Amino acid sequence: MNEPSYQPLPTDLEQTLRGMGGLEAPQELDDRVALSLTAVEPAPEELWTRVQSVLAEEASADVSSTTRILSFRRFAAAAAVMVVLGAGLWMGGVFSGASQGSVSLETLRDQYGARVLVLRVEPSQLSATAQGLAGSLGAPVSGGKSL
Amino acid sequence: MPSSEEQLVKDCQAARGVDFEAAFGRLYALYKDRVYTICFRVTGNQDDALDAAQETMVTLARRISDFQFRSRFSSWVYRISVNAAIDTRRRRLDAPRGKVRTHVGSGKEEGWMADSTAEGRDSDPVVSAQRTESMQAVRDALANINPKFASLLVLRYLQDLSYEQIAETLDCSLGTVKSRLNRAHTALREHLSQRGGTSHSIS
Repeated sequence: MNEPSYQPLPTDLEQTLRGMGGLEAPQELDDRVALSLTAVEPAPEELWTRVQSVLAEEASADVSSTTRILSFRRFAAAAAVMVVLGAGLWMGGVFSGASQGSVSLETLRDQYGARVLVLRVEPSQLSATAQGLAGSLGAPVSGGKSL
Repeated sequence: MPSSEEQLVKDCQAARGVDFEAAFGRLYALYKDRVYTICFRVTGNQDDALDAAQETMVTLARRISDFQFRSRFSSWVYRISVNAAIDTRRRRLDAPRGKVRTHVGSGKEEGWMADSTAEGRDSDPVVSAQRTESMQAVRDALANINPKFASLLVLRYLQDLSYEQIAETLDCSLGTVKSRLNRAHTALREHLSQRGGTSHSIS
């Protein structure tokens, strides 16, 4: 895009602008600058020596606190692992007791068989269909032997 | 750069402690009114002008040892002043607007010499009143147009810098200065015409 052609300011406006120059800075500026520059007094070498010693102390304090935090964390982690392992072993003992070979199959059969209702009936007490079903499952249905 | 001014700068660069204060004090006296004028006209009020001028002077004192005489010292001072004034004005716009001193009718004690002197030139009270009104309008315009444009107008017309020195001050080309100055003229005229009530011929 082309720059619009140069348009000088009207003479009276330019004169007004030129008449606005030459202000006199107030005394307040002198005071402010003097105060500001007073603040930039060069520091003696001793200042750095002092600051350095404080920084060194703080740095060593930081290191020890970090070590404490780390040792606590290690302890906490180890304790957590031990708790988990202990719980695992205990739970393993509870659940493994039922499935391990120390209890025989016969014992289990007697244990759970006791919970099954056993009812003996004579073949004559069953209908022909029931007798047929019992016979197909291997039950003696003749000779007066009860089921 | 005048040789005495160059010597003053070198004195500041070489001096330390109390000697620095004395050397910088002479440089400060040489520039404080020019710096304050730039800051006041760009910011439009005394509080901000003082802030910006203070910032300029403190920056000068702290960085004068870095000045390498590759440009005029005055250009460097004006550049720092303009930047400080623009920054201060922007901060003022961002911050809640409090009460500020505006210099109106404040007289010499608040740095209003030029306007009151100009007013004093007219013996006719009507002409004097018109001049005061015109100055007020232009002052308001400078304080409200883009601060970069205001800075250009201040450097060109209030500090009476050449295009070359403005280019050196703002670190830009001569063509850029002319182009921006043209836009600054337009912005000033537009602001005055929108405001109305000015006796300037703005078209």
